[in-house]
Amino acid sequence: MSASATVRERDLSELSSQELLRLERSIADGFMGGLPWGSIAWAFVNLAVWLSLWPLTLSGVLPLWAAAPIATVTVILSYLPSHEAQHRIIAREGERLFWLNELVGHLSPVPLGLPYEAARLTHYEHHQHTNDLELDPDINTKSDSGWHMVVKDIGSQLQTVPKINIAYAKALERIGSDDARRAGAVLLVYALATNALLFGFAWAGYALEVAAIVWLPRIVGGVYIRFFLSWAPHHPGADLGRYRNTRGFRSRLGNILTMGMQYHIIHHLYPRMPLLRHPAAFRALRPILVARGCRLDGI
Amino acid sequence: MPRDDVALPSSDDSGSGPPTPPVGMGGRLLMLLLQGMPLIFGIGFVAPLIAQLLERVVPGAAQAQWPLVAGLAIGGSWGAIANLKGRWL
Repeated sequence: MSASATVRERDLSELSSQELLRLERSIADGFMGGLPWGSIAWAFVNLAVWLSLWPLTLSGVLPLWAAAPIATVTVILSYLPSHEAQHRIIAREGERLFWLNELVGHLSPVPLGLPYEAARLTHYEHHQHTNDLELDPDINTKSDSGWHMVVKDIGSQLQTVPKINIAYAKALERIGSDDARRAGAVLLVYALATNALLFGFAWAGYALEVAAIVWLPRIVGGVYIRFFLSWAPHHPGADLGRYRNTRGFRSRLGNILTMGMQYHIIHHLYPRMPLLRHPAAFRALRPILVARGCRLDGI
Repeated sequence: MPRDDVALPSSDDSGSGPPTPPVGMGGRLLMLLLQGMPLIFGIGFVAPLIAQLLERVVPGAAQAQWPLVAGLAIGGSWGAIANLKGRWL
């Protein structure tokens, strides 16, 4: 009988904290490991769709009104495969497929214009200091409500240097390692290269086309990503600690449109568990999460 | 997630941490470039974007020079104001 089957039958209140943790880990172990082919395919198909928008839109085959929403969806979908790579879920350093991990990490977020190493290092800071007002680089999304978050985020994007960029630069500065300095330099190069790309295409007569494929989708997609990947799973962002810094929640948009973030609490407990296994792992671990006093809003 | 704009290294926490090495000519030019980025963005992207929009929506504008002049005027001044105020709106 599996550990997840037995957990429903046992009275968890009889277990000590250590016993509960051992049970939790034995259940989680059943969802770890293996190659996350779904995320790997997701990365390359999504990138291929975004790249195909360039010739199709610039040649006029695809109208702007169709290109912009498709590009926005690809931008939104571009982050999570890289997130799998950031946590070395595809392969760890020294393993045979580590090159694939890094390839996915670097290529997947190209539509978003996010360099992999800066994302990885700042994301580790987020895990280490979740909800810490000073040290969590994603704390800027903390807001009273969903609408408040959206308004605040748009307000931040209207600043010439948005708060989130300052938070990421400061996080890299604080880490202070050679890797962090290199990641900061690459972040700068990415930003300058993106602007050079926009300026070049715009002055070549394709301003509306690059606005539809790059500029607008990154603004809209950025809000969507920060809403579901940062604000929603950490709301209200008031608690620290393993079982309270992230929550489960039920969204009217469902699991696919929230990109699996309803179960983000599983990711913070087991960062190397593949994203596509989070729903099943959540169901298996739910009694333990309840026993631990986790916030599971409607799910 | 960072946007395309660039966050400059912090200057508000002087007095703490190790001394920073002197900035060379390349570094100064880069700082200047980054500090002027909203203005550059206004001229480099907003101006041709407005010009192309006008050419599409105003009949006969595609053959004229004025959409580009209007784009440069609007994009340039918008970028300059954003540079001064630190906000696009």
